[in-house]
Amino acid sequence: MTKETGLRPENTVSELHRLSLFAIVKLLKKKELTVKELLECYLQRLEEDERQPRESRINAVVYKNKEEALKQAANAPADSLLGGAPIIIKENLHLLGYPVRCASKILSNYKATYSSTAMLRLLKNGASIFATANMDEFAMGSANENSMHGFVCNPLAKDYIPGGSSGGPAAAVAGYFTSASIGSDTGGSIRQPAACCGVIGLKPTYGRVSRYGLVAFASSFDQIGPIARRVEDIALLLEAMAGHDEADSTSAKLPVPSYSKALETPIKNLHIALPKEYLGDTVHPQIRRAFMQAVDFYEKQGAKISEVSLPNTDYALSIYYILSTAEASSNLARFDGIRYGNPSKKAENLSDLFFRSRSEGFGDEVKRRIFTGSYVLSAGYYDDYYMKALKARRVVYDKYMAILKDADLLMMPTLPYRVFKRGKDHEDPTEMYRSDVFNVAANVVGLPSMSLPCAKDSLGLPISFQFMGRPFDEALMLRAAYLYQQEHGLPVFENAK
Amino acid sequence: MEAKNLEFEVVIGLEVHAQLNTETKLFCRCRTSFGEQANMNVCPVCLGYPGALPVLNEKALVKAALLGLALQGKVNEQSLFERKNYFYPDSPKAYQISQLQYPIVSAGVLPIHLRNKNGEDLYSKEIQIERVQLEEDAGKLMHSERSEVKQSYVDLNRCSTPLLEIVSKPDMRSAAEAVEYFKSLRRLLIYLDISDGNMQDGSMRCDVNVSLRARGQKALGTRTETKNMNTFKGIEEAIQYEIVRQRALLLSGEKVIQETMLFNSNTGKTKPMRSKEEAQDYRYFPDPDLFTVFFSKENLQSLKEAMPELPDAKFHRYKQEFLLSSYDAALMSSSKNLAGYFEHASAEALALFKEAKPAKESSAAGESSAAGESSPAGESSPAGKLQGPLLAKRVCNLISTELLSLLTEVRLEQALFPVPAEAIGSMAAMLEQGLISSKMAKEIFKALSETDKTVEEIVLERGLKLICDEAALEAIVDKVLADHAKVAADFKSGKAKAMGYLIGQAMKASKGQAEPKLLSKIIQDKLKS
Repeated sequence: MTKETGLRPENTVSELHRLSLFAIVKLLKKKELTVKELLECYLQRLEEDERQPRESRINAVVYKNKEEALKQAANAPADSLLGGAPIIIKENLHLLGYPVRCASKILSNYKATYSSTAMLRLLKNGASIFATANMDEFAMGSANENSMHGFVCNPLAKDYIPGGSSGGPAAAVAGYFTSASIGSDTGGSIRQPAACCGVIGLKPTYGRVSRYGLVAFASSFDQIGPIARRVEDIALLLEAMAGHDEADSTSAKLPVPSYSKALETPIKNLHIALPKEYLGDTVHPQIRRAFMQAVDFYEKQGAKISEVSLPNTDYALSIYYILSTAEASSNLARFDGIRYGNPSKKAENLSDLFFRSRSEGFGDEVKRRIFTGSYVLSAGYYDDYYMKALKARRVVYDKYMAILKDADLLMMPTLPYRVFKRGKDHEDPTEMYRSDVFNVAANVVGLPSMSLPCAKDSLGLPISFQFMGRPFDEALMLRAAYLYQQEHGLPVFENAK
Repeated sequence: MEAKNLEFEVVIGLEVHAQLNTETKLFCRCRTSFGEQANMNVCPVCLGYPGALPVLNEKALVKAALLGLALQGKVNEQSLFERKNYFYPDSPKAYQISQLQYPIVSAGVLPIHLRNKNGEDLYSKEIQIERVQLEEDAGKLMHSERSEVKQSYVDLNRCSTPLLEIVSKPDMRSAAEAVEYFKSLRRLLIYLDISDGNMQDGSMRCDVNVSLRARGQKALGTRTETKNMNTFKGIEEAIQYEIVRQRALLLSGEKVIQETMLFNSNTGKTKPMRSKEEAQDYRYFPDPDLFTVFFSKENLQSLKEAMPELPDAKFHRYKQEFLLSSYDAALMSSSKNLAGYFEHASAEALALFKEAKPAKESSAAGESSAAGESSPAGESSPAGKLQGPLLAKRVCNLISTELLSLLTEVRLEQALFPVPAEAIGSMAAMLEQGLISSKMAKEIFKALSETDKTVEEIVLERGLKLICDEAALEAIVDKVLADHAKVAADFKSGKAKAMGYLIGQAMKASKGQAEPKLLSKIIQDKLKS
């Protein structure tokens, strides 16, 4: 169990990569560390990784820009929250001049012509963005195997998946290529890979972080959020990004608390509810055991623990796959290769151009979801699928909110299964979809959710639990997670040298 | 054919698209102005770049609600934007943000007034409006005129400019009604400052749905939709052609196919658009980037209070307050700018007339009506109440005989009047006071439109003033009678025609400046005495 102290590791340049974001910020401010030497450390590790044979190459990062990052760090305002600290972002976030390929061939030559609000806020708060991370194509996938850049290995065990779709950002953090990264979560895409890689991931409340400049997968589900190894790092990054944005009509007009300062505030009368549907037979015994130990920890800390029932949890998965594919089918319709991206060279006329560019440009998983989404919106099926799912979404939301009237937090395992081996388990795509069952509910109801590792399974792979909280109360989740980190400690994985 | 005409009833409905005249686009801050270099008024949002998000322009919503109020319609407190999905290069997101299930306005009514060529009322009727929805426009495609160039160009300046789609019920029964409806709607949009109504630039266009049904039959016949009409003449001709075409089909026992047509203004015929192989499924669904739009009752109330006077109300007021004929009232209220000009000029005329009243009382009445002559003008006296209408009528006459011939439609729309309204008012007052003749008014008007001088300056400079002084006129008459003693004698001996000659001579002697009524009165008095 490590406790990072914010002190520079003694003389060992080789240990710089182990610093947390919080520690980095402190050291940078004390001028005991420079952005340049830290960047060089990360980049050296990345280059080392690039030299590995494919099967053992982590492949978390797909684009690097040291010069730009140094400029950003140099421009970081004095006394900024992040003091120039370098981070990595997922490849579906717009930052002027950086490629935004979304791991898709159809965008293989697309570069951002503008910056997303969240990235601008990060820069304003003193972040420097030195690389973009691999992902599942258009954020669709749970294993980071659907990517034009190739698969990502789990740094903890290279023949295992890193999770998805933010497999790159999670693996980059777990592999010590950065202290923290920014991902996006539409149906678990931050929390699931964080859980697979043994790091922490937070999906904010829908509307907490502006989506302007995040390539939309499913607009009513998508949120940008941080991934890191330490709770305080998550708090820092959320604080740096959150807040209302006039460019995003769905962003909330609410003040943003200082998450990082609130971490140590003791929690009184914490009431944690355990939905029994998340502890059923599908949950692996090792996971159940580890999870209950985490529950015990909170109980010993004085929390009230109660069991609750969310009987329509199963529906959340259907609702998610109907609505998210419907939105995706429309969101992804703009990729025709004409204004940006890759037009087919074989096209003979206009409709042929649309047809071929999209057929050649999209991967199978993306196509599958576009088909599904088009189907559920089509005449004759709209009422049975889309409309019904929309109504059911409301019902599920009400149910969660009713429980959160009494309980402060919901707590459940992040994954019911142990981490998958690469290349398995997805001959039948619906099998993979089902593995999202514990993650999609937070997106269906728009509530904040945060996953953190609590144990190792018999293979040494991580087991994680997650919280769901009340709308816009990320602070409480963070405080509860911080308590666990400080008083119990997070598991340490012996992956990096 | 004529006799068979009676067998069918024509049923017409219009879908009018009007571009709103907001400064910025519907979902981004780009300017909406026309005629700029291609793809200059664009940003990531209206270019449909990945990650860009729409933010509703509230001003467009207010304008849509204003139209709803003017149509006595139901302005919905909650409305919703939906996505209409289709692939086409003029639509960079591959969907149009539009309204379907919950438009901003549902239900409304627009009265139309059919008049003959002389402006006399034929009949009026109310056209029901089904819905008014707010949506974004598409970009423009430009195809090379050279057939060997196999490239087309896309200009997205127009993309995402706000449009209103105003859908009528199938309430029109003739091409004339359809054209009148379109004109009335256009007038209303301009009055309310919602749209510039410019048809050439395509800021107003309509799709015309025409069907025939047996007279007395309730069910509607199969309709065709003729797309993108933007001239009154075109609407009229397309409907006439569709009526003839559909009637011929029905009479020969064939069926009308429900299809989309295009009208060719050169041939005057409609033709089916190349039909797409399959019917389009637009897969509408609520746009998740935009929440439900709320338009509060308070907002609606304040809009109501700020509602300007509408053309129909103006028409009725002009008839009542100014006693204008239907023809004049319709003409003066036909455009917001003209109505404003007319009202301004009339008010000016009345003010000037009242100011000049004391002088007027001492002089003879001249060309003016008997009512104005003997009684002092004032709001309280019944005769004074007529002063307003009389002056307004003079203003109206000056506008219709002098001003309108100099005014193109474009200049009218931009309120570029060749003569200021105050000048027309001043001329009307002078006419009413008998200070100038209609002929002089013409000359003054011409000078006004050609120079920067005021009415007073022109009158002074050119001596354009009637002689109303009785003594002065008597002196002229005495001289004429003396010079033409023989003619005077002829009159006295019963030659009535001689009078006209004498008046002509006297007028000539006054250099055309004699107040004509007073002059002839003096001659008559002298000859008869």
